Amino acid sequence: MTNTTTFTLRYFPVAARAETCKALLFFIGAEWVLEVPEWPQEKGAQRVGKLPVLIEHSTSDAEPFVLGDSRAIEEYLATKYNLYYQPDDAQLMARQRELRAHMHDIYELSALIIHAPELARPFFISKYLALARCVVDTHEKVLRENGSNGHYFGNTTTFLDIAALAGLLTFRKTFVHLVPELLTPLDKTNAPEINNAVEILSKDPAFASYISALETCSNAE
Amino acid sequence: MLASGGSSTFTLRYFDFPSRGEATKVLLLLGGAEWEHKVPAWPQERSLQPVGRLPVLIEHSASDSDDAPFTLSETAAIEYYLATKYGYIYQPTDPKCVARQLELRAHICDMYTAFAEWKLGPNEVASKNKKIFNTTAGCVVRFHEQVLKENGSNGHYFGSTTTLVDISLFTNILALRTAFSGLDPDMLELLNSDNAPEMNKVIDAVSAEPALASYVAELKKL
Repeated sequence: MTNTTTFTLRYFPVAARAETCKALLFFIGAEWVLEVPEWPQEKGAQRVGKLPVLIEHSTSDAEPFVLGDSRAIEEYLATKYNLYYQPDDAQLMARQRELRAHMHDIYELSALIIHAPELARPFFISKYLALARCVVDTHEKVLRENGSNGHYFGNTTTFLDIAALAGLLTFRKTFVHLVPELLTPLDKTNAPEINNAVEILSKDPAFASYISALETCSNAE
Repeated sequence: MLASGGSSTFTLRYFDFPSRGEATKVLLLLGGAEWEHKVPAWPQERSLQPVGRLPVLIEHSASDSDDAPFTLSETAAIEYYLATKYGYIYQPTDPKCVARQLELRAHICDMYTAFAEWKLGPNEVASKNKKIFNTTAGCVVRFHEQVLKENGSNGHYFGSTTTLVDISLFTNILALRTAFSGLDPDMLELLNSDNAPEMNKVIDAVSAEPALASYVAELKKL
């Protein structure tokens, strides 16, 4: 009997922390659905009261595999679908995880800014701008050293590329309405390689469904 | 002074108080690595770090050129790298098991972050952040106590020996207790042995590792 795997991704109906998870599911061509729990009524039913949660339904397993935390979900999908570059090279794997963590840190600071009261925003904005400048410098260098071909490593799409695409497109969609200055370190003037990479990746038909879904998704408030 | 053993040597750049760099120290100690802790002048040497943050791990290997040692930032990347290198990931070829370990580690780190944001963030968000910490910690304790019971209440998250998640819990809880207890001792009651007995068994089990005897003794002096 052929093993069939389908996924449920539980998350809010907004473009926020689960975007790379969604982009990964679209990119790998997985059969999946977005399930939006009643909130906060169903908070207690989640693993540690947080979203996203990924549920993998496989005909070969007695019970579904349930996983919380966006970082663990991404790691699982990237590993399962062989989206890391040269996974047998421990240092390269560490480098890819490091670069992904940089993007995550910028996202977390942006979330703090968006949810902070007006008086507290300058504190977080200055931290965000300092970190974003350093992260952009590092990532620009990696992309240049890889030949400015639209990929962080090699010449095919890997996990980092997917995370960069989802991250930048989500930032553009969200920040232009909420806190526009957060986009400045990531614009074409300050981050030409990152923007070039996302432009190249956006043309890949494998991302068409993801980009279409993102365009119709609500913004996180 | 570098402690000895192995073909690579390491430099850990971090502050001189217990915080996010502790799990890296413990992994280096448990792995029997040759390593040293360097405390950068701060903020003067901030711009010398990969993204202006610590910790940073530098691996010096005989096969690397002197001016290009392997340099890594981000605690998650550093810890996973060392845990893989020294065999502290449980069943590393099982993607689901690995994902489960990363999930549990992320819970613990989120709890630490929530605490730090409460105590170190701006006053305008202190009340909100305190609520976030209490909610986060409550959920994590409930979930992790259950995971530990399901593993046989043996002081380990997986199997019967120390692995990455045990190390993460040990270091994050001890860092919280050491760095923040003086500010408000009651706030960590949620994590004491009455409210989180299984998690405290993990702390005791890791504390008893012979390779960590000196490390634990130093922590107790703080």
